[in-house]
Amino acid sequence: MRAAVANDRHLQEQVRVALEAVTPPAPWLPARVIDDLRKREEGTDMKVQVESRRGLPVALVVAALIAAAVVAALIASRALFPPSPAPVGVQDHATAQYVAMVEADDQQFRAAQRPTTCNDYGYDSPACRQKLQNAATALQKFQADLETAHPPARMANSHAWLRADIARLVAMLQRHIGYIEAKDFKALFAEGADFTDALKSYTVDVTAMSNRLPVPLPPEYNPPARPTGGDTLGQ
Amino acid sequence: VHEGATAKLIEEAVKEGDASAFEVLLKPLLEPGYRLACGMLHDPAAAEDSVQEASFKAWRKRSQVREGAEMRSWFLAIVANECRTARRSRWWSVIKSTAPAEASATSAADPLTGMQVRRALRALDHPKRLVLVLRWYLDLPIEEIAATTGSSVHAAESRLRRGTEELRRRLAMDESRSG
Repeated sequence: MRAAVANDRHLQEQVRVALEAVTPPAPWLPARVIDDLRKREEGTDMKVQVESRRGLPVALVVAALIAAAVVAALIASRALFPPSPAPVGVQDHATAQYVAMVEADDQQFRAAQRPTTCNDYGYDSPACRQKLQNAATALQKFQADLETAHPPARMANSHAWLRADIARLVAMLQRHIGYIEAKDFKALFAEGADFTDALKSYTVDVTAMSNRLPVPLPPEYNPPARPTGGDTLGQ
Repeated sequence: VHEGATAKLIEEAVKEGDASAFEVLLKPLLEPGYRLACGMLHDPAAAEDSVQEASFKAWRKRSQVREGAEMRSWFLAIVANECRTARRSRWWSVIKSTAPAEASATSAADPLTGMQVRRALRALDHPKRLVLVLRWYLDLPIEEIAATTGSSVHAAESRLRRGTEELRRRLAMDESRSG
């Protein structure tokens, strides 16, 4: 390695060898890409490929924009025709308090799970393990807060879904820490896609709550028994 | 002259939405695109996804197509952008991305060198890593690297020099840590 560090050409060769090692032949790639393009061109696969990744958040953003437009219209109408002053409703206050708790706990989780440590130091570093532990701890606090919280009736469904998703994430993170400690990276990678899905569901839940929206269900998600009632705007 | 005329016809056909013509232009670019994505992500599966997504984006932007080297730079720029998005959007995958490679990439001669080099590469920021991969792994001329990164030749050279220095420094530090 010293020779490599001292000499540009040797360093270049070291880089080439290191990268060749992570570039296995993929003779099927042209066929896969062309097939995908044709399917998307026909429109049959476009929704699955694109909307499964981005459609849900986009739908939420659109719904949020519509909600914002409705709120703006209401504010404008109130400015034109001011209503008689009314005390702040107890239910609105409870909703605001509940959503603030959700947002604060979500912020703590996001701060704990930022990716740079694992990326910089590698999956086998103690710093990475600590990062996962921090993320699990933040989620457990979130879990505890949700257990003692009294969600407004219209958010009962969101509350149940969020609890289920957090429980799923906590269980996965704990397993991942175990895999890392046992250096069983094969098992760790095998759960990668599931974890991404669970994180996506969690994000959808929190975003919907922040915007006081009903929670849409990802099609691939296998839900727990759905609670009855609630999650309807205006109830 | 004939080849040039054919290329021009294909270019026009692509712009008019001819998917078969687009496939003709795209196919030779998939291999360098895949190598670039592997060099950036160190994860073959994620690299395939990025190339697939980049190909679809290229199709949607087909009005910008220019046949020849310009098209390669243009497509590689889309792949590079897709790799950046892939790294940002899936925090867990940054853990995932390091390991399959490490597990399969060891050589009998020096099992640690590949890991050390890839780890040092991963620690570079995206622009520096990109020019190093384009120059040292894809063997592109500096003019094409500049076109791919959307910078001047001078800026690309400067970034390559700084990237090399940082990579060398990180490898030296890594080596001194490991004794």
